[in-house]
Amino acid sequence: MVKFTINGQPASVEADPAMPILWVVREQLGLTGTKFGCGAALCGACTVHLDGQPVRSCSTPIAEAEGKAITTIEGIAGPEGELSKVQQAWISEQVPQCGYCQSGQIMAATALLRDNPRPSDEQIDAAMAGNLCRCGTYVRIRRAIKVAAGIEPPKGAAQSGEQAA
Amino acid sequence: MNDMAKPPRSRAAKWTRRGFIGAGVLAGGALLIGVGVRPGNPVGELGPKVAGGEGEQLINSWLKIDADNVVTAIVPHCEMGQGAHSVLAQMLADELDADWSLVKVMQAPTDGSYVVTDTIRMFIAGGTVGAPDWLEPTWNGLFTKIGQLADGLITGGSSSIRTTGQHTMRIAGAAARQMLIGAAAKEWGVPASEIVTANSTLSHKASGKSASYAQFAAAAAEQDMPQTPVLKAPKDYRLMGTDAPRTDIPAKVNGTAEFGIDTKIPGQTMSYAAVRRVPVPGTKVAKMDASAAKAMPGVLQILNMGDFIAVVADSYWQAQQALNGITAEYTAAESKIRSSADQSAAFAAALDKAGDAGGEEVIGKGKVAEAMQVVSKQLSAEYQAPYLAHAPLEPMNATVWVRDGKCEIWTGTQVPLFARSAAAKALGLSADDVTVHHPIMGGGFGRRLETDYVIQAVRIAQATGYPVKMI
Repeated sequence: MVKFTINGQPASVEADPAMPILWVVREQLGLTGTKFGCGAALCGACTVHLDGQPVRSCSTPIAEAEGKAITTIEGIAGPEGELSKVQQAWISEQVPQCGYCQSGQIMAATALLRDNPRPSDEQIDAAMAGNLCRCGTYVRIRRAIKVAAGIEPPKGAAQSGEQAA
Repeated sequence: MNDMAKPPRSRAAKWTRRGFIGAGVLAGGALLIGVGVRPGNPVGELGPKVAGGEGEQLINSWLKIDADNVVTAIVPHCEMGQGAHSVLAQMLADELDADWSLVKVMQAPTDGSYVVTDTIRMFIAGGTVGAPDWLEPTWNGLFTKIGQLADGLITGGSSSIRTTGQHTMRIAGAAARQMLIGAAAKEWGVPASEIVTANSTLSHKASGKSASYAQFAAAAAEQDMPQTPVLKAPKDYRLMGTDAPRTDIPAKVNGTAEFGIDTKIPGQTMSYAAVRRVPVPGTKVAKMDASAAKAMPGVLQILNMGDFIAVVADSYWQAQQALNGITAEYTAAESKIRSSADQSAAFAAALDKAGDAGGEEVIGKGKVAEAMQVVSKQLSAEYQAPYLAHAPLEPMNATVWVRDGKCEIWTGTQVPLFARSAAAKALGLSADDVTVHHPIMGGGFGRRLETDYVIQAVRIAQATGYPVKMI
């Protein structure tokens, strides 16, 4: 039995201590916003926070989460569901294309801005280098991080449309 | 390819309801009201498939309106990040004069009713676009039939907007707008020409009447199909050409977007399969030792499928761990090409052979031979491109449940009807017994134009009898 909190809620799971956090989160807890990409800590799609630190959940055993706090993409909005600044910027800058890497990108960007509220381009690039995007949304990601940081204004009229069915 | 700058002509011209029903096919570019409308059963045969929600009214094959005045564009193409869902809906919504904040997108079902007639037509016979009006019903019927025979529900070739967008979605939106106006004109007793549309509302200035689209949706569906839906001139576009926000983005920033790999089947415990293919296509598993894997936790089944080995377990991670514990030997490959280096060598040998035989000029513009005599410096270079992986970030995956002579599949695919036929063939079933759901894709890039991974998952699920998600 491993005990931890998931997005603020206490959880305990029966799992092989070696099982990566990714599969506990996706299969046992049903939180599928965290993605399986390469399974080898190379692409960053599986990024979650463990006690606030971004980790590659595909390669971090659940045993390491004992007594700690796991935060996933489902857990970064406010208590009333209001989107975080990073999420809002991801919408205003229309960042995602296929979207598969974006949970990981947002988790990495969230951790960056908490530690460094006004990052330079170089600092953004360094912090985000481990998160791959096959669609190539890197330019918009960098801009969205600056918007979330208040360094640049959000793009004009963009508002969220209806969610796709 | 055609001149796409030219605004598309109305494709519904001369296409009467009677003629449409008589043709018995769903025409991609024409209005489908003939199929959708039945007295007392306004959604007809398509309604139950695509407009079963409370208060939803199917206006034609490509759009429905609900009681809250939300317009849902039913988009036949797949979404893999290229934005087809949003942009095709945008084109329809512009012609409809719909309020973009009240527009939703729905993936059209994997069904012959939704073949992409205009994509097929423009690729195989683009010259028929712009044919005389009286020929349109024939062409539409023919290419829809071809589409249905060829499983033509395809997303690829950077074609959705210039084919389905221009020649299907815009027509559908424009025609539906005219039908709404017609219904309002009848009810209000005013000339249709005096009714103005904007932001999903109808209004008539002289009488002061106005109404939402939703209020006239049912009556609009009873309207005769317009003979010539009028398309907007570019100067009147409100959404086309603008940076309208994509409909799929909100779900992609909060973890709720569901990709194929996220498939859940309500009420069912999911099992997971990990697979190892033979190292070279055409070879087989000759020997397999799975004794260690069998004893590993969570393992449900180990399958030697000939051309691949599969482990089914309670967790994907357990399946992978067990698969790693399986040793196998394979039959010898007949092909001489077994690696990228082999392939490059084969290309080089073929080029040398062609060169020795005098070669063949692929590109030559101007007087190349003469120029080569007088140039002061000649450059010679050899270029090689590696065999590239498409590498979408979402791994190939499919969830399949085979039971009671039927098969249900959830998978990201650019060719859902190919997947349906391939599954039916693998199982010896009729295509009608196979249902394919295709959620958004974590990238396609052409890799998901292939159905190999779907067939693998289908074969595994046939062996298990319970639902399996293969990754």
